[in-house]
Amino acid sequence: MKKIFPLILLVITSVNLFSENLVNVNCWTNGTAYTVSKHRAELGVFTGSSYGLTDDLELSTRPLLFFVAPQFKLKKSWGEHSGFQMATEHGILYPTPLLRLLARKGIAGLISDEFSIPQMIAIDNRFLISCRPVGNTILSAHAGITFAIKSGKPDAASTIDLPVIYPRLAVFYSQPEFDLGVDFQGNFFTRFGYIFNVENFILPQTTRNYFFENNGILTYSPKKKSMRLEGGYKLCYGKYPSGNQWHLLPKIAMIFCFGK
Amino acid sequence: MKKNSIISILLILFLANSCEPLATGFETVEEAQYFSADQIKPVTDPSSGLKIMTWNMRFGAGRIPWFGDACGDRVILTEEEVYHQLQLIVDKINLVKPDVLLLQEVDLMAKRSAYINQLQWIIDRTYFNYAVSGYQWKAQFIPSDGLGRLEESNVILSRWKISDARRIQLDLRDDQDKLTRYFYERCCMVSCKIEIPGLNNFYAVNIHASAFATDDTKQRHILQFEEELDRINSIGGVFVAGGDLNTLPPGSDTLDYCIQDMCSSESFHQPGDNPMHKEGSNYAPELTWLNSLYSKYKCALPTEVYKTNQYKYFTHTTRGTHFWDRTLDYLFTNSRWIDNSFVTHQDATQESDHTPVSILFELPK
Repeated sequence: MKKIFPLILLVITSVNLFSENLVNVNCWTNGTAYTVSKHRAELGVFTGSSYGLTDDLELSTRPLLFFVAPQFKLKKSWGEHSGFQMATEHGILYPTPLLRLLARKGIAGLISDEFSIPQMIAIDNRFLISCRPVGNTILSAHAGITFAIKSGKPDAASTIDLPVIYPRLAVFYSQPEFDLGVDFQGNFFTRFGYIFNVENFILPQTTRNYFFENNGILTYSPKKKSMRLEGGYKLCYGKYPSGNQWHLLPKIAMIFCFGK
Repeated sequence: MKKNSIISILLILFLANSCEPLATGFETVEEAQYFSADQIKPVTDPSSGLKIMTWNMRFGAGRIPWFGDACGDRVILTEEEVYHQLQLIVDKINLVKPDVLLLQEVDLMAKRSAYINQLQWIIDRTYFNYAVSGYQWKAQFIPSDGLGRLEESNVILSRWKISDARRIQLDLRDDQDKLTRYFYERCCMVSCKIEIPGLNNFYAVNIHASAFATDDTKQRHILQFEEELDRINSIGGVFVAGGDLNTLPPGSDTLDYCIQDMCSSESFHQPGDNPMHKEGSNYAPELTWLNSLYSKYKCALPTEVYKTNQYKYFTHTTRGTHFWDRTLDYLFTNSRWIDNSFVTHQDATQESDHTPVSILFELPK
């Protein structure tokens, strides 16, 4: 086992020497301290979409959920210092319309309609740092804190106890929520790349206080580089109301790039 | 409706590859789950008889108007509500003191009952040492009515050790669409051997037959129950068996409860009504379904006794504020019951929408 890790590292680093600049080619900035360049857009199906307002200011949102759970994030790049790219990200999420839609009788009722969902907004702030340890591999780390503003206290039983969803709405039931993570991405060859990241959600005010997610993704960009396909897995662990659980989920995404 | 189905299908796809299936299916026969008390309590050898009791405990919902079975609007109960109801159930069990207890609708981990492991809670607060459980319903997430996770089981509790415990799958309903059936309950029986001193071939069987099937599913459940009893009988076993058969005893005066069970927005028996009868409330087609069981084995409540005063033996009602209005719960044996020991505990009005029924089983000399 000890021999396998250096071998994998060697393969990754050697192929990276032949690959082009990751951020410039694939304009992929999610999870890193880089921002997309001015007037460039990344439109994701099933994922977030980003737009470069300026060369160091990126606006992102989730188009698929925009009308029922509006979410905006602004990422500001603070430039490179001693080889480390730095950025801060500031976001706002308003899930109330979606949750009210899901609090219904019958099929697709993910929340019981006996609960009323108050007006709720989550505000998150993150610090991101990235570096290029080997070739064009990007290693990033982030730390963030999320607060919620509510017009009332949601019923503790109105949670949606599912992976991915629960930790992202947990802040409305117990705040603040901290998130810490690392992201490792690079290219095997010009068109093929990988993303491996880990995200931790920590809620110190409750016993259901820890959630973990790990993504392992292979990416493909065709010759024109105007789109990117992603496929992989998402491994989730969490302390849910029903107990500690693991989930292994498929992850598929398509991202279209416009502009330089 | 189409849009909702798409959301549900997307959810299935989203969770399809998770470590645990979204809704669990079962083999025809599987080993049941074993439970035991944290501390094994001392047991004395039985003298002349064993008290046997069956009770559908309605997952600790008491008489709360739950949306699924009582025209109610409640879905998710609070922890306080469930613990309060469980305490009432435990108090009744400790008062009646059955030696073998058959329970239906015991939640092991369900959002609707505050994720309380009701079986372990009951074992730890009664004199029972052992239990076996078979899932009646096991879904990681039901994307309907806010139900979420649901793990409900049928269990057999005993003072003495249990072995050879099996969960026996009953037929699935044929009158549901595939999506509903995927997430719906999977009725089952639990069959086991109880190691009672002096009795080396004593078996217990617990069944919860379909409540709402509108086709012949319930009849097939009763036949499967009978087949299991025949099997035990054929190997020389002595059994006590029962549960919630969801059908009326032969000779019942009232067979149609559609009007009694009707919710305020519903209409039945009127020209143009479709369906004409409420799901699970019209027992008229089931008139003869228990005849074979009654003729082969000894029912704790013989037909002639039941007929003398049916009201006295009613065990269930769907209406939260009403008294018992029908009999759905049964006990059978291939050995002997002690005469005049059968009790329908109609005083237990707050613990569940079913009363417990108990009887003394005569130990073979």
